[in-house]
Parts: sequence; structure tokens; C-alpha cells
Amino acid sequence: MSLLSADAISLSFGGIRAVDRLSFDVQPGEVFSIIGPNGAGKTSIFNLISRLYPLETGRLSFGGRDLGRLEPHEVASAGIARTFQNIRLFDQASVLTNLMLGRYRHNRASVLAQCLFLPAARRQVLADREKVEQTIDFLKIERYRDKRAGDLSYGVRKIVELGRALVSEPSLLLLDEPSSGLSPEETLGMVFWVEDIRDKLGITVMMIEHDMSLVSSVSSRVLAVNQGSRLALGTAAEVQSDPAVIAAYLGQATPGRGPG
Amino acid sequence: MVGFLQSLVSGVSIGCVYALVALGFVLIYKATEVVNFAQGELMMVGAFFAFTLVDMGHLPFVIGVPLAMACAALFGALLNQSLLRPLIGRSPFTTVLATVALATLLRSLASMVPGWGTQTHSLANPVAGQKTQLGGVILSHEHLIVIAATLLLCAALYLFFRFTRVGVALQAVSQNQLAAGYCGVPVKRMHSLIWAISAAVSALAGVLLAPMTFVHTGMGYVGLKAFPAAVIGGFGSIPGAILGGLFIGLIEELSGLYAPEGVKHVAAYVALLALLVARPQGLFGVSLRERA
Amino acid sequence: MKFVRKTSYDYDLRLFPEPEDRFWYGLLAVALLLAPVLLPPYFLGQAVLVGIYAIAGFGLMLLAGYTGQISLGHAAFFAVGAYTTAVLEKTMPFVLAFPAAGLMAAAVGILVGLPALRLSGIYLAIGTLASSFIVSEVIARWESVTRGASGITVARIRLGDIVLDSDAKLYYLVLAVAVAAFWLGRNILRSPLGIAMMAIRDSQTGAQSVGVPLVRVKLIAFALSAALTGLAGALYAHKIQFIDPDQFTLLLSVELLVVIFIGGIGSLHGCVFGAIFIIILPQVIAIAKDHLPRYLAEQTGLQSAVYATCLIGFILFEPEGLHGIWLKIKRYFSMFPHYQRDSQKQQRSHARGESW
Repeated sequence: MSLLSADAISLSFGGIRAVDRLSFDVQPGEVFSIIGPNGAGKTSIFNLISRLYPLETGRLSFGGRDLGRLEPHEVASAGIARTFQNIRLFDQASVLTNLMLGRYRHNRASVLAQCLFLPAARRQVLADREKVEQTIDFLKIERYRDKRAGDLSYGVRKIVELGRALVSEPSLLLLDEPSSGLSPEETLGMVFWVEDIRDKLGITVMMIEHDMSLVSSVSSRVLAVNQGSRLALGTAAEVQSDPAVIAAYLGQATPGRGPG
Repeated sequence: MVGFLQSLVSGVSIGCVYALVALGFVLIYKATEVVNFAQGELMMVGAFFAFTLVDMGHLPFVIGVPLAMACAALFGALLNQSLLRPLIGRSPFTTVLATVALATLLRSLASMVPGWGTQTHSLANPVAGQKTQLGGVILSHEHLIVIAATLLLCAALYLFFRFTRVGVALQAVSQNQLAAGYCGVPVKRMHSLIWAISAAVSALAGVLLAPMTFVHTGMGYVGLKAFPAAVIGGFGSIPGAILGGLFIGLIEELSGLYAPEGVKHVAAYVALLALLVARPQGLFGVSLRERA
Repeated sequence: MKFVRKTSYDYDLRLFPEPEDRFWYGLLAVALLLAPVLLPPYFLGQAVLVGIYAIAGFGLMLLAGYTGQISLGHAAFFAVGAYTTAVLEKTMPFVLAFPAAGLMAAAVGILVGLPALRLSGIYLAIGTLASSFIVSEVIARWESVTRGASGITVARIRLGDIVLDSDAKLYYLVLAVAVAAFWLGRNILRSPLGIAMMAIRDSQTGAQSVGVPLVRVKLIAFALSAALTGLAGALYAHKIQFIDPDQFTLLLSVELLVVIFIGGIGSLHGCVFGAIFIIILPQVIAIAKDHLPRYLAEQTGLQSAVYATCLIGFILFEPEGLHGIWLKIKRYFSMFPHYQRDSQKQQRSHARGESW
């Protein structure tokens, strides 16, 4: 049974169809990449899954549950975590606080317990801290732990946002252009992380990407979209050689360009 | 019926004043993203400039008022340069607080100027006391001038923004400061210009308000009603601000006529809250939702 | 320069992790307890007001400083607390009326918060302003309960057999409430709820993406904030012993904003500094008047002008407030002689704000 399935979903902005009766599904344990020219509607797909925008048509289900009835914050509780194209970190807080916040959906302490900092609240915070430290170890960002998130470099901020998504222990991770703004070395590092996330942490990954080498290295399947509708769906090699996909990328011999 | 029509006229008339203050407010917000809580005080200062030139300086009304508007424009530009320019890039909370402080400062300083003080003054105007009667409804000429002046000013501003080079540049600045800057628009100077225009518009509003409330340092509180007007219109919209002002003016007068005692003072705010609950972006406004 | 070696996660949770913190706070506690003995009576009365403004400041700080919901109308909650206790104490003892004042203020806070939920930034600020005008008008008009413009006289507090008939006795009560409020604030800030509030301030979309229920947390913030400010208002009513609508105007809302800004946004300690500043300033002005030209000294607008100028001065030159200055001093001594003028500077953002 698929983890996430989209059935003829649509979204428009004014007169423009950002997503046009798109259907696909994502299997548990795979890395599912979405590619397409700019403005093709890729981030809108993520925004529909996160329930930041309402579905115009169609149905989205996650683990069998209809996502259409959920509030945006309930999507996280359902087990979906995401990163954003323009990094939505909490700039005034430290990296540690940003990551601790990623644990919010696991919070069981009541408001009263927190106001009085009863043992239940203390236990909660310490348990969250354990998990957060494990992720800090995984991503090797120990030396940024107490630094203010707004002061860090772009590449590190991307990693912190990834960390925030990971600490919530999601079943599905949505990565929006994880390699954009990263150097070729950092992008190589991202390849390893995505593999580790899939293999060691057992998280299913959906990824919007432009960097074809990253896409080819880690994806199980690739969905190519243009103007909100599906161009091709298959393995990376199949999609990259699909004539419709090539045409959409303005006739270049191979879609996009990656290092090497 | 006559009472109703009478209220309608007063409502439109005071609504025009609110509309002008709201207009000044929205102009600044659109161009600089600054919320100017001192807009009412700018109106008050402008009215006092007019009072100084016309009543104390004995200049004719038709010369004194435009001169006052020019002084107000200069004053607005100076305020922008000294207080707001250093705050570019800071959090919106900071600029809100700065303009709130500015409002308090202007109010207190105005009360300390010799000749202004804490008393109320009347601003002599050429049509004081003149009235016409139209089918049982008494139309004071002051009210009519307010409406006419507002229409003229809005038309002038529309033409300015649409057809002059500076106007178009201001529109660019209000949509994307960074991009406008890269295109060679001198953004900081544009900010001062918009403050100048806004202060001049508010000064005119003060002159138009003077017959109704007289000139005094507390006039700025009337300006507080302009915020609901600007919000109702939707923050980014100039025609919206004007319609919002008229709407508030009408609601106030009508609630004074029909609603229990005291409702009139808060009618504007109740309307504001009711509207915001239904439509958080105002009637014409663009949604402020973050793009994910 | 001091280097902290942490050996357990607990360290970050403790309120006074370092031995030297415990020493200085201990000293502070002793000084506070002995204040009625050490201070002359007039200053003790001022200290009571400082405590009251600090508690109100904590409330506003939770909402504006931490959750990022700018409230221009906090005077309304202060008024609700004051009036609730004044009215209820005609028929019930202080120990019941006091919490009731807090609860009533919290309820009004939720009412104000509800329309504010869907609003952000400027709409929110104006919405809170509008709500506070409406609350003031209701208080002024509901004469059967509030006696309208004539005001209500408030009796001294009775706790069992003890009557708090002096500033010294009132001082201890205010101190206790202030310490409790401070402790409450610190607890929230080290809990998931507190960081959720801060998340809402910095990025609502980001907060939603980790599961923070925006509506629920904002309403909780409004309720807690209003409750604390309401309790401060209740204590205020007992200090002044006469309340009328004119004491709870926009100027009070601005004063509270001054308390948290000049004190230092983002710091609970700052509220105390801010409260001290706001209570001391009129004294300083009064003393300075003797040295000013007569024309200036007589002006009624002088005090407001000085307030406003100080606030603008801080906004332009010391945006981190008194707390920021305090941190700079501490840092100077701990880094001596390596301290640089910009050691504490932070990056400015010129991109179109997300903070709204």
C-alpha cells in the first residue's frame, strides 16, 4: 500500500493552474523525486501536502487517511515533515531551540505542567533533548548548537532546517530543493545524507530538485512535471531520456546540469 | 428622513477627513512598509501650521493653506530622514513603537509651542457659517468644501501616480524596494518624498477638520479612526483607504443617530473588528499570507 | 573569559545553573526582603509601583516579546483586573477576588485574541488597539457596575486577620506575586509551550510545519498575558485605592510598551529594568525642573516629551534596551581587555520581512 497517494489534485492562483489534475503515489521506503522547469508547480505540490493551500480538486491520502481534512499543524502530527525553499528557521533562536521545536508534535505535557514546570514537563524536555542530540550527532552540527540561527551561513541553515525536520521522527520527509545554494561538495554530502535518511532512519523521502546528479544518485523514482501536470514518471534514467521531458527543458540534450 | 439625510452629509464629510488621513497612512505604508501611528499628529501639526500662518500671521486663507501644506511636506520629509531612515531593516515592532513615540512627542512638543499651547483655537475660513438648504436638508458650505477638496486631491494624486515619472517610481518603490533600487530609483529619497506628500495630505485633512473640532493638540486622536479606515480598505489599497474612510464616517454618524449613547465613539472599532474577523485582508486588500 | 563546561542536559534547564548565579540572586533576594527596612517610605511606595508595572510587563512580554503578537491595548487588561477586584471585593474577600480578577482578565484576553488570531503584524496591532478602546468604552458606560466616570474607591486588602494598611505590607504581597510571575515566565520559556510561542514570532509557517497549533498557542498566550496584566491591575487598584476610567488610557498601553522595550525585548529581567525606568523618570524630571528655564519647567507636556524622547533614543541607539546594556557591561568585564564595541552586534535583515 502506498504511503502517500495523490489523486487528480489541482490548485490555481488567479487564472494560473499551478497543479493540474495530478496523480501519483509514493511507496514506503523510497526516495521519490519531483523535477521540472521553474514554475512547474513543484513547490505547490508540497504546499498542498502540507495543507498550506486547500485542494481545489482531487484527494490526497497519507497512510490511508484523507489529508484534506487536516489543519496545517496536524500534518506534522500525522508524521510528515518538510523543509522549505527559502528556509523557514526561527532566526532569533539558537540552533538547539530550533531543533527542540521540531519535537513539538511529541509533546505530552499539559499547559499547567509546563507553567509550573512539574516533573512531567521536565521529563518531556529531557526526552526531547536526547532525541535532538542524536540528530545533532547525525548531522555533525555540534559546534553550532548554541549559535543564533539567523547568524549562520546559508549552507548550515539548510542543514539545521533538515535537522528540525528529522527530529520529529517523521514517516515522510519533504525536501524542497535541498541542494540549492550549496557548493558541489556540500551537494555530495547531501547525497550521503539522503541515503542515510532512507537506509538508517527508515524515512520515506520526497524531494524537489534541480540538480540531476543528486536526483540520479539517490532516487528510486522520478516524477517530471510541467505546468502543473505530469510529463513522465519512472526511474531517473527513463525520465531523463523521455522526449517530452527533454522538450520541456527547452530542447537541451540532457535536462539540467549537475557537477561532473 | 431629514435627520437621516443630514447625518448622511455629515457622515460623508467627516468620512472625507478620515479618508485623507487614511490615505496619508496608506501612502507611507505602501512605499516604506512603515506603519505610521503618528499620522493623526501629522494632521494636527499641519492644522497648526495653517493656524499660525492664517490666524497668527494674517495671511489670506487661500495662500496660508497651501503654504502650510508645503511646510508640512518639508516637516514630513525631515521626520523621515531623522527618525525613520536609521530604522530601515529593523523589525516592524520597532518601527511601530518609534511612530507611537513620535506621536506622543509631537503632541507634547506642540503643546509647548508659544501661541499653540493647550487651548483650542479656531481656524478662520472664508466659508464659515454659510449654508444652503436643499429640500429640508441644511448643507453647510464647510461640508461641501471638504467633499470637493477631497475629490480634487484624490484626482490629483491619481494623475500624479499614474502619469508622472516620479509617481511611477514611487509605485515601483511601494512594490519592491530592492528591485526599484537596482533599477536606479533613489529609494531613500523616494521615502522622504512620500512622507512629504503624506504630511501635506494630512495637513489638508487637518484644515478641513478644523471647523468641526477646532485646532488643538488632541486632534491626533481623531486620526486614530483613520486606522480602521485604512484597514477596512485593505492595507495596500489607496482607493480602499478612501472608501474605508467614508464608510467609517457614515457608520459613526448613523450610530450617533440610531444607536444608544456611547456607541458612536467605538462604532469605528467595532466595524473594524467585525470586518477583520470576516475578511482579515480588508475589503480590497491583498492577503498578507507568507508564500511558502 | 569564562568557559562553561556542561555535563548534563539538566544544566540548561536549571534556573540558576552556576554557583555565582546563586550567590548574586541570593544577595538580591536578601536585599529585596530587607527593602522596607532599608528604604524611606516614599521610595517604598515607588517600589510597590515598580513591582506592579513589572508584573504587567511580564504579561505583555509573553505576548509581544515572545509570541510576537504586538498588543497596543494592554491597558484594557490592566483595567479589567483593577475593576474586577474593586467590584468583587464589595462582597467577597481578597483571596477570592484576586484570582477572579486574573481569570476575568484572561477571559477578556481570549475575547480580544479571537479576532486577532487570523491577523498578523499591523492588523493585529490595530485590532488590539480597537479592542482596548471598546473595553474602555464598556467600562465607562456600564455605570451600574463600574460607576462610570465617578470611579470606585478600593479598600485595603484583608488577608484573614491581617490588613495590609501600609506600603511595607503591600510591598511583600507585590513582591511575592512578582516572583511567582517571573517564575511562571521562566517555566514557560524552558518548556515546549514557550519555544512554540517564540516559533510563532519568528515564522508561523515554520511553526505549523512542526506541528504547533497556531490558534491554540496564540490564545493561550493571550490568556496568560492578559491574566498577568490583570493581576497587576488588581494590585494597582489597592495601591492607589481609587480607580476611574481615565487612569487606563492609551497612554498606559504605551507605558507598558515602553517598559518592555526599554527594559529589553526578549528578556524577562528587562521588564524589571523597564519598570524601574518608568517609575524613576518622573522623579528625575521633577528634580531637573529646578534647573530648567521657567518656561519649559511649567509645561504639562514636558513629561510625555521626555518619555517619548527616551524611547526614541533607545530605539535608535540601544535597541536591546537596559538589559542589553547590562549584558554589555557583564561581557566587558568577562572579556576584559578584549572587549570590542561591536561584540554584541547582530545581523540585520534587509529582505522583505517575514516577521509580520
